[in-house]
Amino acid sequence: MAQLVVDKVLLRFGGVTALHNVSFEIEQGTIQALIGPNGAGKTSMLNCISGVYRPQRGSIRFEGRDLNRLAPHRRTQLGLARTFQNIALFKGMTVLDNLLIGRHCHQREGILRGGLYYGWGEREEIAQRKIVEEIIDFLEIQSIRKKVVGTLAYGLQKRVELARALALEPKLLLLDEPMAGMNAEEKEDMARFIIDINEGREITILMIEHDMGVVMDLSHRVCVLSFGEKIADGVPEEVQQNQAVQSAYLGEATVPLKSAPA
Amino acid sequence: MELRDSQDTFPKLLVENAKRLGNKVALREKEFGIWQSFTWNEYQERVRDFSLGLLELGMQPGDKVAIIGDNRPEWIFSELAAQSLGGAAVGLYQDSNLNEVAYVTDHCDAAFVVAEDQEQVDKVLGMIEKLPKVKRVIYADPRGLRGYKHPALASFESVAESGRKLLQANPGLWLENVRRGSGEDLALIAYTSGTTGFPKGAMLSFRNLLTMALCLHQVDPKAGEDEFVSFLPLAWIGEQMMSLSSALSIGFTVNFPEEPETAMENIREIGPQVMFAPPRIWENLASAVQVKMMDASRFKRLVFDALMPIGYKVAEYRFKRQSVPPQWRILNKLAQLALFRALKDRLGLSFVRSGSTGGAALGPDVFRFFHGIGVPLKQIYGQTEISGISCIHREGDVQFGTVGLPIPGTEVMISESGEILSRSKSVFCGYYKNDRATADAIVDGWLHSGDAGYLDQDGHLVVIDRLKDVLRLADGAQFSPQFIENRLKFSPYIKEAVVFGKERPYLTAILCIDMGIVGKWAEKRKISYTTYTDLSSKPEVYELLAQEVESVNQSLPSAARIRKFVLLYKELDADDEELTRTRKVRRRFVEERYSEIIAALYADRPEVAIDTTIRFQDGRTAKIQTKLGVRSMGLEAP
Repeated sequence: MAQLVVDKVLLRFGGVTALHNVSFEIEQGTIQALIGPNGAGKTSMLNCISGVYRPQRGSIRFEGRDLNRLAPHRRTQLGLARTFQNIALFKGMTVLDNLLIGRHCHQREGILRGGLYYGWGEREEIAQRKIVEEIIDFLEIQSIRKKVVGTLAYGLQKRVELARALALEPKLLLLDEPMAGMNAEEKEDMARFIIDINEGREITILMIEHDMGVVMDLSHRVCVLSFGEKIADGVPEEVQQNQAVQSAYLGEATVPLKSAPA
Repeated sequence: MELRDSQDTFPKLLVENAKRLGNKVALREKEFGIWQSFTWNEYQERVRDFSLGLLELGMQPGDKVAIIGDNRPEWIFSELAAQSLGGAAVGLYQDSNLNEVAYVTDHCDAAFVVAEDQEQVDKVLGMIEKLPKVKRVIYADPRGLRGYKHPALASFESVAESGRKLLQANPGLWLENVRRGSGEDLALIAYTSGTTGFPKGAMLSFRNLLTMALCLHQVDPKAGEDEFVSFLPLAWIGEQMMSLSSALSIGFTVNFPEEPETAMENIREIGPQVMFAPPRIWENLASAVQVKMMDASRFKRLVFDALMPIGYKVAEYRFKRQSVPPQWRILNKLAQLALFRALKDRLGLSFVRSGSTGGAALGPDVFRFFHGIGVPLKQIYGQTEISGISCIHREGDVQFGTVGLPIPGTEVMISESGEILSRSKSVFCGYYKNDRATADAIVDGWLHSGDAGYLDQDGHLVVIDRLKDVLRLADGAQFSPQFIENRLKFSPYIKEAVVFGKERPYLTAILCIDMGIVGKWAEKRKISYTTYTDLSSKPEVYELLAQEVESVNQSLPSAARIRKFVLLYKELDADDEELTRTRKVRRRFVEERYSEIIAALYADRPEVAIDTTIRFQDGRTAKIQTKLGVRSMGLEAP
């Protein structure tokens, strides 16, 4: 069975239908892209999965469990992690502290044991730091370990946010425009990291991305949304050929949109 | 200086040190945010395992092992492993491009290549069809290499593992191999960066390298407890001299930074006693202080401006070899407490006892600065062909216009044509597969450096320039463009300078601004700019640079003054072959590439139109279309 099953999800804000009966599946260990023109409902979809929004109808199942009733932090414990379109780091804290916060859901020490520090708390902290340091090494951010996040360049902040998501040790990683606003070199680095995360760490990835070159190169499957409806779903080559996708991107909205066969 | 038989090769010294120092820390590498140590015993084990692994792969005595990568313990493990089996190591600069890697790997007949990571493996595999002699490509860091299926690939760990198996079957085998080595064996082929033509491979024996280390040690002593940070390319003879020859002879600890970008931070964490770096590094440190002071609060600037002159004054007395008067001594003590100590700490130089600079000339201002704050910086002179060093400043006798006195066991002489010749046991064995070049370089046992120079009244060597670059001025005097270039580069605003004038009526220069400092200067004056090209074409920047050139001109004889200059639209770059990998200007190449600009400098044109494409590392290109202004210094043509 697929790792994530999105089944007929419907999300409305008042009279606006953000997502209309969207269904798709993500197989374990794949990279899936979610694309579509502006306002298509991509980020809304991500928010439904991560628990920021609760859809009115339909279900989202992760490894067989229905997520709909779970609070976001419970979903994190199941193995979901995400990054945001607009970076959501603690800007006044160092890179290291941001990553250690990412470990919070895996820490079991309470105020008492953590406060006493010596013994149990110390061991716990060393164990967490070890995991964080591996991620720092993995994403090659050693040189900024102790820098305050707000002082870093945009591309680096994006990388730090990815690092924090990895610190949660997720099984499924949701990336909201990981390459937005990056230059060619930073994009190339990010693409390499995404592949390494997927292949080396065996983490399933669902990403929203506008750079079609990146999408077609990296993804195993692509799912296309337009005005809240899924119009195509398939391997990159199929999707590129799809008539509905082409018209959605070229703006011929007069053509009635039909759901393409999955 | 005679070497004992039990200490005449690197591997033998490693065995001795492991016996003598055992559990003392030999190497450190920062990884996962922590300094991980290797004791001398562990150092020996790693070398032994990898060495036996190479033997399993069929390595023969005399085989060459090419090594490419950043400074990591695996780099020197590989070198010593190859040398243990009677092979030689060949270092490649880690930022070399595909063609450079292919040329050196093929020319040195390397049977094995040890590559640090995916980036370096890609370079070697990208050229593998042209490298039929390479049997195996061994990588240290498996990251990103999952999908690589090339049959020649093997991991460092797997080679070491097969070595451990061989060790169990035959425990004495490695030591037997080590004992077979002798001081005359080829240890290293060091490819000189070559300001002209293809790089040449200088063959250096253990005797060459170790004699030099011991002779240098006599005049610039180091101790077993000292710390050293290895952050310059290990393919460079200077780094080999410190991290291998000297470290193995003396037994101090070598530290490897976490990443190249963290080197300065890591230096501060270690607080080394011994530091050796080319001028570029010292200049960067000094200019970092300047830039930080520009941004500092008014109070801090006041303190800095008040106390620095004290340091300069005291340094001045010492340079002149006069004793420092007591009142200055006391003031200096106070300045030490109030400023210099904190400054040295920030730079990571608190404990530096043996600090030296080599590879090129370092500006007097930078020299004064470091001596002013109490870092005893010395100039070193030498070349790859003499195992790195022939001259060094002596303690308490630092004359920054000179490169000091020859080290023990080394003779220096000036030939009739004004060339610097030297003779010692450290003079190399010849260029690999290039007898003609060898015959040109060593004549009757004297190494011909190709540098012009003279000995001053105290016997200190003064280096003028490359012999073939020395200019004859209209009045017949010899003059060195490099000397003027260095004067120009002492200006914090000038990053690179290339002076022209050979067979020309007057001198001109192409200058590259220092984007960081000029950028800050522009910001302060509310001058807006976008790119390097834009900033360097601002009239205000031209005005600023003209003042800098003017002040340099003041110190030059009138025939040797710069009459015109342009500010180049880009920085000179090793990837464009304008600089060597050790960042020396390749004058011929620059002259050819910018011939149009140079023509404009000698014509009566106020500007020159540029229409060129620059190539980025990933193969993309960008067009640059701009007009370069030619600034005339208002001197009359002779």
